[in-house]
Formats: sequence, structure tokens, C-alpha cells
Amino acid sequence: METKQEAIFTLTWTEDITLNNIGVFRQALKQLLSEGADQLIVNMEGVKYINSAGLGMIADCVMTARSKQKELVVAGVTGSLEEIFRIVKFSSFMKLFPTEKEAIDYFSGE
Amino acid sequence: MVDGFWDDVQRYDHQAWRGLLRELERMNVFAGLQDDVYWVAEPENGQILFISSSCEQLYGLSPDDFYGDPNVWMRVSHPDDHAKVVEKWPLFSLKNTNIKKYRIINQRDGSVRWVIEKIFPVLDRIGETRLISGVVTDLTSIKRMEDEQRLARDVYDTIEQAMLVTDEKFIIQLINPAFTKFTGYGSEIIGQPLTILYTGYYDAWFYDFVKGGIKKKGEWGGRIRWRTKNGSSCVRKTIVREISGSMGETVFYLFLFSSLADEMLSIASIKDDLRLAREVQKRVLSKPLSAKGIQIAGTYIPSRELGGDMYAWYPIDKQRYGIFLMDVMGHGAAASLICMSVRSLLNGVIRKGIVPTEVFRELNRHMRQLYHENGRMTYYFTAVYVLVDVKERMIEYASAGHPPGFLFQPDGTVAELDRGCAPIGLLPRLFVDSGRLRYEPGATLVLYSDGAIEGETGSVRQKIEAFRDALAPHILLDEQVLLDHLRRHFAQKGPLPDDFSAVVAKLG
Repeated sequence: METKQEAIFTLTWTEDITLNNIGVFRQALKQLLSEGADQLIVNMEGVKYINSAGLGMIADCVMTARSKQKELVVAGVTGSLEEIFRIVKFSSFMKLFPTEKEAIDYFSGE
Repeated sequence: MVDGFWDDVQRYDHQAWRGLLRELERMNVFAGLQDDVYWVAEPENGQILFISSSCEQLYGLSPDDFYGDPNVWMRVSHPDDHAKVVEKWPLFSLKNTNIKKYRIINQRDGSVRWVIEKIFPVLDRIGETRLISGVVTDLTSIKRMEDEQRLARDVYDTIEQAMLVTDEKFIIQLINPAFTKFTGYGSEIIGQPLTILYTGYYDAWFYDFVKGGIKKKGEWGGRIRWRTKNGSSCVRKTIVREISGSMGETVFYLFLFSSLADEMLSIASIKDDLRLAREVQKRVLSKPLSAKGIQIAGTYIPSRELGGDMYAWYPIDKQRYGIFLMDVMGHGAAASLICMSVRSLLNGVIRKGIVPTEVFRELNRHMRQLYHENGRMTYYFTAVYVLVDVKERMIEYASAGHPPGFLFQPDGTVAELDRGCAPIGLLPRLFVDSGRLRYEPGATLVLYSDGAIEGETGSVRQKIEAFRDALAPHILLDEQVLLDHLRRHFAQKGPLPDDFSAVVAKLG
């Protein structure tokens, strides 16, 4: 599901990311990057697991967005998902937020 | 032409009106009969009174052969169809057009041809049947085409090999029952793009590569992991052929998937190769090291697939040792090959870089150079590297997106090696936050891959803590005994979903 809030574009992803749906996730991220907005949110609230390929795709998209002067952040990072992101140390190169509101506030400068 | 013809015939002898009909035939009055055979016969005995000259081509007999032989119909018909020939004479009294399909044997070249014969009565003025006539059309080429189509249909329906046809834009057009058996998809997949069968296991470049191969050679073959309807994936040897139209343009792509039986044979052969590859992979792992102030040993339990775990250690100088453990993203031969390529660099990288920050930056540079294509990351690995100084009793470490290692102190406290950076190969530049920890004599360092914390219930944090707590009661054991204990613990779980590897260093 995608929602647009002025210059911010959100991709909401609710399923765990495994081998079975990684292709669809890749397509969704690709679509997100092609949006006109410069501020992109992947809302993963409800996701409990993401496999290594999914993590690679997120990192790849963060870098691609950066090269296009855009910023991609991940929201809904709590519980088990937060632990995964902490282990892979994604916070060292990208922003992670517990809720979508906090991600929007970040982009809004609040 | 036919109705009342008998009255005219009565006025002349056979030869006269036979000549008349021959002339009419030459004048092309029998429109549309150029290739067909037109004949007129007496109803009582089937004696041919006239037959068009086209009988030469179809039957391999001249008209005179027909006029002179009362058994000519039997002579030309296929033995299996003699009954049909006999049947056609009594039917003339029905006054309706009678259509018969049967086989004839061309008397000149011996070939069997399929014909359809339309027979109709020639009536007199009061409507009585006086003559019978017929038109015979050669159906051989149509029949052959029908047979081929039926054969193709039968093959398509009954063959055990799964098949799929797409149009030139890779939109699915046709599937066979074996495909449904293989994937679970029935007619609902018709009209869907081929991407519905993609698993996400491969990057987009792989499919471009396949398409490129088809364009170049008209065919591509290889083993591909396909997605089935229930979401699981299945590897099949797949051949893709381009089917061109009359102008040479691509009209269809035919996908042929190997049958399960073929796949089993192929799998047996691949399993042998994998067994060999696993052996090779095991042999590059460092052998136990025992030196003053440090003893290091490792263990590796491969999963069902070839994996991407690897560990190694090197003495750097008289007091420092570098210990490294890595886990490549994903499984399979690609992960294993990446692992081996890193292994070949590792000795030089560790001896040159020594400290975690430099070692990881250099490995990251190599990974980006080797496996980063068109601005996109293709592979990465997680790793933990520990530099042990046995004289200073100090470790300096960094964890590149890897589950935290443990430093068990003799007093029972445990430190987690949780500082570091993102996985290697993921980012253009790495910002490594290394950690330093002092240890007391008798401390134990344990590094492991995520195979150790998979498959259990609970969150990742709970799994890490459970593994740490499971180690604690045995931590004073000798490194080899501790590893044997771990091996037994994981072996009893059956085949592992992921590789498991662990390194234990006893620090004096």
C-alpha cells in the first residue's frame, strides 16, 4: 500500500520478508524509488522477520536514493525487527524509526 | 446438371455422353473439381460410366481402368475400409447426399491417401434414382495436419514434462497438465506475466541474461528455481526456445521443464558435486592452533545446501592473533564461491591491515570491486574479526552485521562483541566502530554464525541469550571438548536449515 503526503511517499509492507515474497518486495522498493517524492518511508510495522536478501535490498535502495538526492528511511522498526536491524547495524548508515509518525516528523523537521 | 440427366443419357450410347462429359470437364464446367474426382455409375452394379481425368492423380489409375474393372472400388480402397465401400451402394436408394471418409491406395505410387466422398443420386423426371454420382476430395494433407495437431495435443496433455508457452512479451499463453502438477497453477495463470513464477532468488540481471541467451542462440538451458502456487520454490532444469513466425519474428517462447525423474538423476549427480565442494570448503578452514596464551579451534556443520560460512585465524606476530568468522548472504554455490574468494584474500588482508577497522575496510573494498555491478550490490557477508593480544590480554574486535560473539570471563561475566559496522560489501564506505575488551587468564572467546540461533522459538535477542546461557555451564571445558559438545547439540536437531560454525579461543 502506498500513501502520499506532500513530498513524503510511504510504502507500507506488512508481511515478513522471506524467499517466498522477496521478488515482490524488490519490485515494491523499485517502484518506491521511481516516485517523484524525495522523502521515502518504508513502513514495516507488523513485520517480524526480514531475511538477508531483504536487508541487502533495503541497504541498496538507501544508497540508490542517496545518489538521487533522496532519502529513504524505515519506520515500524520495533521488537524482533529492531533486533535484526541492530545486529546488522543499519542505524550506522540510515534512519530507523519505531513509528511512521516519527519518520514523518523527522522529514518535517519536527 | 444432374436432375433429369438420365433422360438425356437414354438418347445416346455410353460413349457419346461420356465424350460430352469429358468435353465439359475440359471446359471447366465442373467448377472447383480440378483436383477432385467426379464420377457417374450405374446404381445396380456400381459400374463406372464416367470418371473425370483427375482420377489419374488421386487413384493412380486412368479413366479406362475404372471403366474396365467392375471391382475397381475394392481395388483402390484400403483393406481396412472395404466394408465402407460395400456400404455405399445400398445407401443410394436413400436419395440423400451420403458422405463417406475412407482411405484409398494410389495404385501408381502405393501411397495411402485419405479421401472424402460425396455421393448423390441422379434422378429421372419422376424422381427415381437412375444413376449415382460422386465427388471425391483428397483430404490427405488436412488429415495429416489434423493428426499432427492431435498428436501435438496428446503429447502436450500426456507428457510428463511440464511445458509452458508465452508470447513474445513473456505473457503466459499455454500450459499443460504436467505444468499444473509441477507448479499447482492451472488455467488461472494464462494471461499472467512470467514474473509470477519468479522466486526472488535471482536478481533481475539473471533473467536478462536468460533472455539475452535466447535472443542470441534461439535457446537457453539451465537450472532455475521457480515459484510454485503455494509459495514454495522448486528447482528444475529448464530449456527455453524461441518460436519464430514466418517473417522470422519471435512469436512464442516455449519453456520445457525437466521431469521429476530427470531431476532426481540430476540431483544425485549434483549431490556428489556438492559433497566434494563441501569437503573442499572444510579443508580451507584453519586447523586448531595452540600457542602460549592462546588455543583456538573451530567447528563447522554444513546445512543441506552448500553454504557460505568460513573461519580462519592467523598469527600476526609473537603476541597477536587475528581470528575471523564470516557468513555470506544466502546459500548455495554462489555463497560458497564468494566465501572461497574471500578466503584467498584473507591472509594478506589480515597481515596487512591487522586491526579490525583496516581489515573490514579492505575486505569491503574487495567485495565492492568484485561483486558490485552497475551501481548495485549483488552479494554481501557478515563477519566478526577479533585481534587478540596475548601479552596485553586485550582483544580488539568489530562485528560487521554479525550476531555478537561472547567473551566469557573467569568470574562468570559475559561481554557481547556488539560493536562494529554494517555487513561487508553493502555500502560504498564503511564506518567501523571497533570495540576493545580486557580479559583475565582463563577467559573464553566464542564466535558463531547465525545458524546457531536459527530455528528456535522467540525473538532474535532471546535466541542469542539462550545460546549464551547454553554455553555457560560448559565454558570451562577445553576448546575441543566444548566444540564437541556443540556439535552433538546441533547434530541431534537433524538437518540444519543454515550452516552452523563456531570458533572457540581459550585465552590464558
